[in-house]
Amino acid sequence: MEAISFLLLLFVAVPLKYLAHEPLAVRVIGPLHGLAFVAYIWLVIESAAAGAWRRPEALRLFVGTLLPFGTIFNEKLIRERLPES
Amino acid sequence: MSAYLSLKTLHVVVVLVWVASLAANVWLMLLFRPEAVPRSASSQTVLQSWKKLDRRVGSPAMMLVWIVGLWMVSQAGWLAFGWMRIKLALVFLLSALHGVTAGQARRMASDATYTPGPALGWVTGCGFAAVVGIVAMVVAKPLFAV
Repeated sequence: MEAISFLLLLFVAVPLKYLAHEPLAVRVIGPLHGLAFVAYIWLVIESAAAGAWRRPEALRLFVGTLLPFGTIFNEKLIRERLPES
Repeated sequence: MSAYLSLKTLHVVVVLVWVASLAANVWLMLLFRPEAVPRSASSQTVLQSWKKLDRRVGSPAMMLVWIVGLWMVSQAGWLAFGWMRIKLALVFLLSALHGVTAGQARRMASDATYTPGPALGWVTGCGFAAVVGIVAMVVAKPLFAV
């Protein structure tokens, strides 16, 4: 959800606001992405503090949220670890 | 009462629940940290009960703080103000600290030989400073941050 909301914000809502002068999409998707971002980062920090991730892995998961498609790139790592955590 | 004031009331209530839960996380770890490892079965029972309570009350309260808070920010256009941006950054820091304490408490509950490191005092200090900063931003709305 974090990845999808980021892509929608970046490639749909922001162009709509600045090219078509339609700010509604940013007002709707912006807070939704903010919420998904906070939830994702919180889960990474919580599970890293619980010992589920090593520091480089947690860093990789964090950096992934800052880049478009980054979270999708990290999905395999998360899925591999899901049964353990 | 207007819809905005109702949301504001809900926001303050869930903030109180969340911060109390965060403080209790830290207090519980400070309480059990000096205990010799492996901890007793009764200590582990307390830690496991707390872990469940944090998962059912503390963490949902944090998410509700964000849901209601972001809704209010978006409706009232607060993001244009510097004090709100500083407040958001401090709430983000407080959420991260909650994540650290919740994860550490979960680890203590599942591993009777695990003890949190000395960084716990640092986490406590940062959490307290963040709460003071958030209250200062909301109440005083300082001129440098308008």
